[in-house]
Amino acid sequence: MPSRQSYCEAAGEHLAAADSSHAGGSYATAHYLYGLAVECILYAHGADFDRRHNLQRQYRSSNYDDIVPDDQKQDIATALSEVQLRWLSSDRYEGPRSLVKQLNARRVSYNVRGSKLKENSAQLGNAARTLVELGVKSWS
Amino acid sequence: MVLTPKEVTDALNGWLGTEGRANVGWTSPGSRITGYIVHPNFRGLAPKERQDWLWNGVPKPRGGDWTGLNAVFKERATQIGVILAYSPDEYEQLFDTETDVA
Repeated sequence: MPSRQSYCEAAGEHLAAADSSHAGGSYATAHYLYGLAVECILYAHGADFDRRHNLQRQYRSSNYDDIVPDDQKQDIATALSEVQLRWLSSDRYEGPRSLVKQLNARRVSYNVRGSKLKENSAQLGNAARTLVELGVKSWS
Repeated sequence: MVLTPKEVTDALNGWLGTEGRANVGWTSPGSRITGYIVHPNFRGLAPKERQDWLWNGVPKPRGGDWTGLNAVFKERATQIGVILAYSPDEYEQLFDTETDVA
């Protein structure tokens, strides 16, 4: 099992790879990597393994909440909700078209003009960045 | 004065009523109180707005007299951590179980 430090490094690595994928137009890949980065940062803060990859349960079993400044609680909760409502671990098996169907089923792609995948990836990226950056900062 | 999960649960259930429910607790004694709430009125509401309702109260035109966790617990609200808000269908999707809310 990787160390907490290793999970922290993986979170940063996956976030950077997701940003590169997003910039290159590989939105389904970016989508999966953003969620994976969030899981890694929760594991870095002691989250228990959850076989369903439920981020709320992982968050609650971790000590991540201890590092959240009081004035950022709403931002962190919003970010965690955004990730949880958009992302499932099983999305790694979805191609771009089937991922759009999944996003529609999850009701997170209302009122999106243009590419739903691109917009989803951008929203997910912002949320993941909020969570990962705070989590990594607490290690330095 | 130490805030307990029961105080937070009671306050949240008072707001959410019979249509909703709260599940909050300590990860460990002395840690902040975290968890989630479920209510049909969160359906279609952005996560940021849900948090605003939870912490700062519901705008009057939307109904209710909930003033938010910050007003209810004042300085003791710092003992509360992240609380997520779901609609019942989101909860069922994420936790793969039936809830007892509408």
